[in-house]
Amino acid sequence: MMGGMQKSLLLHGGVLVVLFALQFVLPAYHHGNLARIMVLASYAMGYNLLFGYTGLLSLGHALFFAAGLYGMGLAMSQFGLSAGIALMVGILLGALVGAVIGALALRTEGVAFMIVTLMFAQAGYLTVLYFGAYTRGDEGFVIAQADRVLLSLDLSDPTVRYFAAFSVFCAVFIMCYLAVQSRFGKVLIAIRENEDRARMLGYDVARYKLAAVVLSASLSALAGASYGLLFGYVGASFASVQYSIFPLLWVLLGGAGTVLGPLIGTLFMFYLIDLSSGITTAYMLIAGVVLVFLTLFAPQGLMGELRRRVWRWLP
Amino acid sequence: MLRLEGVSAGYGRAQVLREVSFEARPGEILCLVGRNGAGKTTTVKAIMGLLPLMAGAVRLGDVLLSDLAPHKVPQQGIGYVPQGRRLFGELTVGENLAVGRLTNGKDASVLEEVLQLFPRLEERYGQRANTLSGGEQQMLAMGRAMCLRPKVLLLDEPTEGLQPSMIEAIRDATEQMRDQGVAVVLVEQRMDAIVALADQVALLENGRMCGVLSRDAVATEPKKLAHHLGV
Repeated sequence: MMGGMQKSLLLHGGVLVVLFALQFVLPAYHHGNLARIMVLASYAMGYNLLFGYTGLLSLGHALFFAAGLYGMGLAMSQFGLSAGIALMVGILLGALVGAVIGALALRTEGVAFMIVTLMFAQAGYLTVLYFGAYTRGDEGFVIAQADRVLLSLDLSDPTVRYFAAFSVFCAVFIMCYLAVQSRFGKVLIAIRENEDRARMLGYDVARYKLAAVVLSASLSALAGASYGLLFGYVGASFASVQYSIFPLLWVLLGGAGTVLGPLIGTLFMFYLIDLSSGITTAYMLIAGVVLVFLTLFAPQGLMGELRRRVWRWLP
Repeated sequence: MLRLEGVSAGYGRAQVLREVSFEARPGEILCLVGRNGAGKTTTVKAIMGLLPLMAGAVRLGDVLLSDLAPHKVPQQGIGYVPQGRRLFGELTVGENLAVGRLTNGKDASVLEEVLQLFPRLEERYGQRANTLSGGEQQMLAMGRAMCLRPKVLLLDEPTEGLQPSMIEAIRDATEQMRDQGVAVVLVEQRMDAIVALADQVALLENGRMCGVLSRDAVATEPKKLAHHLGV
């Protein structure tokens, strides 16, 4: 009889194997979609660390995604840096922005935290538009195919792109899996469950929360920078409020506070919109109705419900 | 050991405690007794640094606790089991105990001691805390506080709403902590528990101290104690 830990390892390892194997069987269209989904799911996993595990609902994560995206894009377009170094610049910029925003926004809590993060993200969006001379504003800019080379691999090639997206997903997935099982992760969950009690056990809650914001921002920035590199476009729409709402929706649908939830939520939402937009121009109406039903019948998200009903060992 | 010296505290501008002073000594159980609203829980919160003091001081030996940030108070060796238990419901029994142990340099032997004291927790080790019965939750709350290896243990009505067999287990654990040299501050409303456990009783009325009874005085002056109990 397998214990919870073995089952969990088997399930999560199995998901990675399936994602790796799918590249050999999927038709070109879905192959491209899945690469995109894996990068966006990495963004959602970063978001989940803060929202699902620490209990901090941010409405400004587009700022961190955009910090990675623009940090990487501008490093290449303005300073001529190579893709690898530009990727690092993007991640570091995301971490730095996360540290500054975290230090300020964590002075508030609850609804005020949501509003403050939203306001910072809006300020970031407007900054992108204001410096249009460099960012090309609404229009955005394209990263030349010739520049999208990492370790001598052409990232614009669909096979390489899929593998790169899978690598980013794997790195974030494994990091999140280990983080939530670690001492750090357990303390984050304790803070989510009862902040005062965590403090009364001797934990410096403010420091843990700031660390969670910085880690979450760094993972979001990694996703943003990877997205720009793999798909060759850096645009202001990724800094808009819509991209702050998306990860919240993906995580809620998939199951907040579960490692697999963000992937399931992103996959579900991506294909829901993709399929419904093929049926009608009012596709958001279909998506909305499905979301209402899901919220009614699976309020803890798909993986959250599965954990509540069947797989209690699910991390 | 733990000394309150003229502590005044409250919520915002509403003062609840007025110059409360007492000392909890190692290897003794001090019962904090008073009617509802007398300031028992407020006293415990003031010790833990959850409320700013308006006057006075809280000391643990030579350390001035009232000068420390709230999260540093437990690090000095103060375990706190609040009213209503307040567990981390989504974490398992084992994880709750692990979180309690982390600030104690990962002392592995303490876990064995806790599980020995509360064998029921070992049976429920992998179960989420929010699926435990009330008594088991209380055991877990106490076990988690004990994981700190506290010098002082603050228990806020630990047997409230529990069935008799569970009350017995909690009382046994409290006595065991005392026998190990821990100074226990117990907020309690049950006469039988106070008579059975207390080495001294601090009486609170309207936020003021109105006397300290010794174990003998509790036995000889039950009316005085009864006056300060109940609603």
